Amino acid sequence: MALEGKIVRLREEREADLQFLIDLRNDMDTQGWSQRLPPDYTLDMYEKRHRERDFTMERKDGRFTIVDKESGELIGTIGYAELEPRLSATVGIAITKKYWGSGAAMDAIETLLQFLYQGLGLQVVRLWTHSGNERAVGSAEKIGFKVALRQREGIFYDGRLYDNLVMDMTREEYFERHPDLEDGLPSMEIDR
Amino acid sequence: MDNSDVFLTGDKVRLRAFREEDQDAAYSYLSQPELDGRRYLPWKLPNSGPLTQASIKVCLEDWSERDKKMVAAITPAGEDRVIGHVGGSWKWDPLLSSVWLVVDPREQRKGFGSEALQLMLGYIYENLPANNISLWVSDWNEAGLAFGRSQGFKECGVMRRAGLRDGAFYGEVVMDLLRREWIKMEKEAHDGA
Repeated sequence: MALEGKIVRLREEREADLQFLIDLRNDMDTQGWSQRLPPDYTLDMYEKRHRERDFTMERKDGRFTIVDKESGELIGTIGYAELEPRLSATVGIAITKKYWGSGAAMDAIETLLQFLYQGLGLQVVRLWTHSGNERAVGSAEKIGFKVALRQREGIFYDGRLYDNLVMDMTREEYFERHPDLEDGLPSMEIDR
Repeated sequence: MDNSDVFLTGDKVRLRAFREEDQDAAYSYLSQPELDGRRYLPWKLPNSGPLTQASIKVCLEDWSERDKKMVAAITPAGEDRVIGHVGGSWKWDPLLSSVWLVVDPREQRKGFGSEALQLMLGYIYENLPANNISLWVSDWNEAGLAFGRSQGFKECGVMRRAGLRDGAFYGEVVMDLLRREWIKMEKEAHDGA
């Protein structure tokens, strides 16, 4: 069963998605990375990546295709990585331009966050971006992320230096924004 | 004294590659209780809690790999005993590199760490296209934070809830030093000399 949002569904990546994902990666506006990547990714590369995901119960990451619930159209890709069990993970998202400003990205992130906080019991979720990506910073702030770290002039993007940013949201901050959800995890800190 | 694996030389320290025979020395300083939680070992190894000789062996093997990083043994000038390690990494992007330093608590406050770190900073800025070098220090490590500031690093944020220690969450304070700031410091040190 996929992760269900209000307007999007996050489901497993399928072979039929690969060309869409390649187009997303090779589009300089939607690459979704803080370094420039050459727009030369091929079907072979993506097929290899898709095939080489091993089955294991010890998962450090998750990767989902974002689908429009109403039309079934592919919207983007979202995932988490660098999982420290019950502690932290880093999220990333890339959305096709047609769906920019539609609310799909925010719904996808909120859907994934619910899985990370309520499903995986994480204490903090992070995302990496840079000071030149105002769209990403603005969207993340609307969801409740705050800039935790600003490494000065550490990113070079399209001819300019930007600050590397890490934005984060703690478990308490997430549940404060979602009073409809119950936090069933006790505090991990010991009050002496 | 064998100098063939010396990377960098200062007035007080030499930085060289770790050797197999350094295993006992590394185990000795890394096991010091004051370094618990701040050993700066490879990711797969424990930063706190009991260490084993097997862990140290894995550690030295990792440090012998030079793939976009350099981890050097610190030895006092004129002696070949290992008193700590200093590392630099530029794996993700050399523009944004990072460094770390560990000195045996029994050898601290003698200037070894300062010089070792400055040698590593010099190596990175003089040989790599780096613009920002960052230092990551746990927020409970007051001595480490003060040391970072004394070396010219500026705090640029905290990675919250990096882990739990003694019943409380701690964060990793990140401090950075830009290329132009390092150049200015070097010039001032040279002009003042």
